[in-house]
Amino acid sequence: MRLFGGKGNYAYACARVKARKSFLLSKDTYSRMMVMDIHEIGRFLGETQYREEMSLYGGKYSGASLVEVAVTRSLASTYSDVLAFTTGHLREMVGNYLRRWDTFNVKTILRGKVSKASNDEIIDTLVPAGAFSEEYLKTLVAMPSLQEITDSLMKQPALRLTLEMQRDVVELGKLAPMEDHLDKMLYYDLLDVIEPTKNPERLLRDFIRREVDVTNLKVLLKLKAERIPEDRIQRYLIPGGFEYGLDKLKTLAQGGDVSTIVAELEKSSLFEESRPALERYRADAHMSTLTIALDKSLIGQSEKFAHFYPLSVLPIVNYMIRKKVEVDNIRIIARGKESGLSSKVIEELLVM
Amino acid sequence: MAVREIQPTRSELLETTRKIRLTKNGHKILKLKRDGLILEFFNILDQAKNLRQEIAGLYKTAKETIAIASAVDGVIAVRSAAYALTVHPEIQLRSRNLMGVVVPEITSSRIVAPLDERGYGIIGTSPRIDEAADAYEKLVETVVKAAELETTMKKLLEEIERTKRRVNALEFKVLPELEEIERFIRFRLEELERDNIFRLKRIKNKTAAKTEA
Repeated sequence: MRLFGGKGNYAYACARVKARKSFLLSKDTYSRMMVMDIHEIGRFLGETQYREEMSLYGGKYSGASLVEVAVTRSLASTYSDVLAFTTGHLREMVGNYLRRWDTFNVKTILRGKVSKASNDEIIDTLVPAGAFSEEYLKTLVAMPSLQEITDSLMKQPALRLTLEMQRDVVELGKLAPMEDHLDKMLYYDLLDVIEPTKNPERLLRDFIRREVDVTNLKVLLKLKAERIPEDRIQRYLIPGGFEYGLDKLKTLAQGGDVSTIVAELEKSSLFEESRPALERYRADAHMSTLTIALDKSLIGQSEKFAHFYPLSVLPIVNYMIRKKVEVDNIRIIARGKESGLSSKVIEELLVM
Repeated sequence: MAVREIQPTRSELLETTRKIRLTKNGHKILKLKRDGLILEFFNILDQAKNLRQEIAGLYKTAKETIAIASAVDGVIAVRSAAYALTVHPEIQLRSRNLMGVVVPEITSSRIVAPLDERGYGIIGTSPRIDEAADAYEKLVETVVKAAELETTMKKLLEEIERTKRRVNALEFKVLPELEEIERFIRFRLEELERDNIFRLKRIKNKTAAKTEA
């Protein structure tokens, strides 16, 4: 569905994104941050592209919380800038890709309200980079009850919430059905909107389909590890994967246990670069070892496709992914240092 | 009971002898109870020590997993996942009798919730949060077991102390006093007997002297 006229300013947008990529932190910078304490990390970030947010929130937060809030808000600001300097069909694709942040924001607001977080805390964790404006999100946060918030969300046609989901949230405090619905709708809509008419769009669509594969595999691994029966797994599977269609996933859900799925993963292209992760999983049996490897594999895919068509939507999507990875890495280092995690553990969590 | 307050009569002696016999029986039984309680205590002590070590290990793991989840997914995501839980643990408390000591029997349910019943969405929640939840569930289950064992240990210790004090009181105060009373009565009775014999001899001698005169 095309909302904007014109193809888009690919050359301009890609040039801007290329310039911004030069400001991304390098591996050496992460190594330097690993030997700093939390205050030094804060001072260091105050001298980088995060200086504005570090100053803005420095009065309200400190330590790892300041770092987390500052980099999250910087991410939102970056995405808004990227959306602002794109036009036409390019802007439509970027906008649709960023709708995942609407899902994230709605879940954060609902979870924040259920967990009695303060309005300020919830607002500072939002990433207003999707279709919902920051003003609308702040209005939702300011609403006193879950009933009012869900009434407002029910009016958003893109979310397609049902009365049953609203009842679950308001009367029973059950967020799970709504959250899973939102996550599924995100991928349904993305795959629907990105038309594979040209090679860049087809590559982007394939990338989204790989993302669906990774999401489905993570869900399967988690649920199989808990020995959840097959009929209860099916409702969480998302159709449209690149390597794993719904039928293949249902077969994996029916048969065997986690080891069957891991054996299947070894044959998958997603695990080409993840052999060490597989060996580590066999040693420690931590599901997160495998799922981190799947996420890294997906990010590796985005690095590859960014070079195929340098004047397309792909480098822009790649930049947005790398920016998110940078923000995640900074948060991992800051929170990890604050909690006393060892350097070895922190390094294993970083994506570089 | 002061020895001087006792009437040195035969009935009193019989009563005192009966009390001594009773006290010695009670002392023997209490010593057996004390020894039995101590054995039971050491049994539970080993289990409690192992459980404490297990808790220390589980706590360390749980802290690490939640630190990782907070680092990777953010603090609000972790906190809100915790509050999204719709299944709450239940504790059932009963009591049982262990060598005369009333100790608790604690059972728990719904501490471990299946992944798809925890209340947060499955698709969008990271496995790090799941692992943190798993770790804390194991920790809470073990803490409940430890609560039963350690409360039982505390109650046994109190009862052992009480029983020890009673054993010592019987052994070092009550029995010696009773034996002292018994000795006193016997001594007095013997003295009275000697007095009687002497008096009777004198009367006999006087009577014999009168008759001769």
